[in-house]
Amino acid sequence: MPGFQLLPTTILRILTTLILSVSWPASWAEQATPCSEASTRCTFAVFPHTNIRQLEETYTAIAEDFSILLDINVRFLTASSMQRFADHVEALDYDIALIGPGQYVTSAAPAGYIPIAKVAKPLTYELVVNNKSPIKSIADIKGKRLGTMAQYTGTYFGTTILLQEADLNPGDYTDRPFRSQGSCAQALAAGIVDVCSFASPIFSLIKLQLPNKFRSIAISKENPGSVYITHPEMSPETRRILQEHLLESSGIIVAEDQDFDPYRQLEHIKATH
Amino acid sequence: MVVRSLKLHIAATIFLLELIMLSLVLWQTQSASFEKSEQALEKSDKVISELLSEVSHTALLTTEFDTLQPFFLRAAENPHVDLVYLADHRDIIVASSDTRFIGSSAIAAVEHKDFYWRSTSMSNASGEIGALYIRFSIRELNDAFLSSLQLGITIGLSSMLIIAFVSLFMGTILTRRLKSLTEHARKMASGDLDHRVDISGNDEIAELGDTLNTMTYKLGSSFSQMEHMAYHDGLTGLANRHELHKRLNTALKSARRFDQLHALLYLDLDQFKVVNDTCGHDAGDALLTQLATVLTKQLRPQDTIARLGGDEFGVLLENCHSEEAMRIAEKLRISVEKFRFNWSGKFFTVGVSIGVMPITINSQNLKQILSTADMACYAAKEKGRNTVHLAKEDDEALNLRVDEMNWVPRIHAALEQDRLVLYFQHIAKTTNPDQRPFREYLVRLIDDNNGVILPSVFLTAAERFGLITLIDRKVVQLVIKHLQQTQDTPELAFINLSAKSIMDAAFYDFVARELKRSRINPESICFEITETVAIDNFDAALEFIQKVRRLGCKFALDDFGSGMSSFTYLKMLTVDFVKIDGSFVLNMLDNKVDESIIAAINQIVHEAGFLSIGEFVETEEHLKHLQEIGLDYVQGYAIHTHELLKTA
Repeated sequence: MPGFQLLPTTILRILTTLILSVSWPASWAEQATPCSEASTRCTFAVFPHTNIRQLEETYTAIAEDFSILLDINVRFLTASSMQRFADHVEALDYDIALIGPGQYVTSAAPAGYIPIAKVAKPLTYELVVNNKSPIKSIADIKGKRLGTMAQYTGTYFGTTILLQEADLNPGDYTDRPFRSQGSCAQALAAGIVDVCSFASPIFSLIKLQLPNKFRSIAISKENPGSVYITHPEMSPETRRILQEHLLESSGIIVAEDQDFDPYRQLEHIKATH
Repeated sequence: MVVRSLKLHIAATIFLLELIMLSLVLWQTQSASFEKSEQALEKSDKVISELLSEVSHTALLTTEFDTLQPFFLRAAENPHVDLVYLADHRDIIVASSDTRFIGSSAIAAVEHKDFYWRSTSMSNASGEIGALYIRFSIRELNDAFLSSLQLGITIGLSSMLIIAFVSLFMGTILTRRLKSLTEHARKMASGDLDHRVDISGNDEIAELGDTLNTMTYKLGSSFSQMEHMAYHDGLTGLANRHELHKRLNTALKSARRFDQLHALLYLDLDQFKVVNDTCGHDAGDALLTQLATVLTKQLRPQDTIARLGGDEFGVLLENCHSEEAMRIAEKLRISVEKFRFNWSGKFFTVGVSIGVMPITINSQNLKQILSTADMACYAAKEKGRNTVHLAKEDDEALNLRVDEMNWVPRIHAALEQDRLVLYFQHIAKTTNPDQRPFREYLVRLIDDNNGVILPSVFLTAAERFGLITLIDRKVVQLVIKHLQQTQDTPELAFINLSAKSIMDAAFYDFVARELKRSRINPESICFEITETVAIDNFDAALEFIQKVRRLGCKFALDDFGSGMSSFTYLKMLTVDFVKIDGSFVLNMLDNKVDESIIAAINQIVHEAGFLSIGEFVETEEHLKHLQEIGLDYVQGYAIHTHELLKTA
């Protein structure tokens, strides 16, 4: 008989649920949030805006500060390329990250990362040529080879705005994407490309390494800088601690998601293209 | 004794030395090679580790471990690299040349003879970020080492075997030559001195072989010389007594076994002494040498002539019957008789007495043959010298000689057992026979049956066989002892001496020693020798008389006149008494000539300043006549019969 057969099964299910609900400790039910005391891992990733060993040298000190602050080992990470970094971000692999504004808009924000602080100094982008290049102005770029970054980077966005303002569309020049701005600088020096687009801080570093080699022919208006983001599952308390710590540093200010709307606008422009 | 081959010794020694040296060289080279390989690998390890560390570090920062795989796989293609993996900060393998390990814990390093681990820890300011582990294989190195070692051992062993064979070959060459030397030495030891070593070349062994040959040659020469000396007479070059005895033995055996006839001639030169005494020993030696040649020429090739000593020779005539032996002996005698010996311009003749002894199936032994031949020779001399006497069965002369020989042990026994006794006879003054007389002491031998044997019976044998000097010494000792022990001593004691004693220098020493030891007055002793002895041994007699008289002793010449000697000798011999031969006294009553001779001798004796003594005075009539002639002393049964001297 079906009724006779269903009764024991139903009773069993109910009993099991009751036993489990009574005996399962509350702490067991809680999931360990990133960089919490209970978690076993905490990573701090920095987007690869320069070579990896330089990044390590600079940012492992910050990771160490985080470790002390959170009383957990915070491991520094990066990626070999912007694309790979973006992939990790989209996969929520990092707990804390310093990321470019473009990638924040294209990868981090959609993945749920929460911004907590940003570099106070606005970020500008420049179009740069060799000192001896006949290219004098942005209009001269037409028909030339332009070295650009990945399409989701701030540099790409900034450069695109500059070019659009000069009525230059992607078809007017030959677009040559590079994995990093350093790679582009080398290609420019070698004559492989005629123009490179750099974030201004990066160009400053390049000029230190290769003085009198390049010159800027155009610079964008100011845009929000790089942003510290946290994993969406990080506890508010941890996030607050981190934010307070970052804000104690000079040149770091609070970041809000809407601060990066200009980039979202650029993305929109790109999408319309 | 087990002979161990020298070549095996050499080969084994070389092989052993080689083994040691090869082991050392192999160990040294292989160790050095292995060490260098290890150093090279260590450098390689370091380079690989550094390269992989660099990319691993980046990978740890980016967590892009998939990018490492190509590096790890490429590294693992190196035969020296067995396994590479990278562990993160949790010690979890995140990349590996063997993907099976990815996700597992880092493998604990296990010691293994074929592997070793290199780990490189990577860290930054955040702390340790991971570690690179590389497992290097030394199997290839070990295999290469073993392969190299095996090759080295193979080459080494092959070389050793080749060298061992070469050593054996060379050892064989060397020992073959040494064997030749050993064989030569064996032959030398067995007496083969004609063998020569045949070793070519100019090395040490060849030199040794030459030296051995030279030594063998010289040894052979010396041996031949010694052998010749052992069996030959050094003066004449003839065979010596030893050789003659050897050949006689052979001849005796053949006579007994095959009934062969041989003969032994025993030669004794007559008058040889005259040459020797008057011209010296050099002349005597020259005479013997020349006579050896003379005699040899008379013999057949198969005959053996030997010098037996002094002037005696022996000749063995093999396969020769008695008649032929006598003919040869006569030939020898004549050749000696005819021989004229020239010495310093003077010519001498000598004779030879030869005894012939046939050697037949019945001959007893060597000693008997030699003895009989000697007696036959003596018999020849007895016959008047320079004659030949053939020894025969029932040979009267030889039997007499045998009798004499039989006296030898009896005389020895008498000397040893004090069975020589003294008798004495008074020698009285002619003019006053009652005056204290002189005494002549006479020796007698007491035989086994206590019979008294007169000296005429045994003195001949004693003289013949050299025992007379011993008897003379005994008599001197007995007389001196008597004179020491009794008050009944004569004014003068007469003691007879033989020719041999006066010729024996040691005898004079004996007399002098005895007189000194006994402390008797030497003037109470008067020694006597016969006229014949004095004349036959004139020089020795003269010297002895002079020496004895210097001691204080008196001297008398006995039996004067019996030898028909010259009165001249009386001028030369300084004596005290001259005893006129008794035969003249015995016959003087019937023969006026004898009485005249006595008177003449007495007169000459007196003229010479000596005193005369008449012997054999057996009757009062003899005494009366001698008193009338004027002799000084008389001796005989009319005065005193022989009387045993009683000792204390």
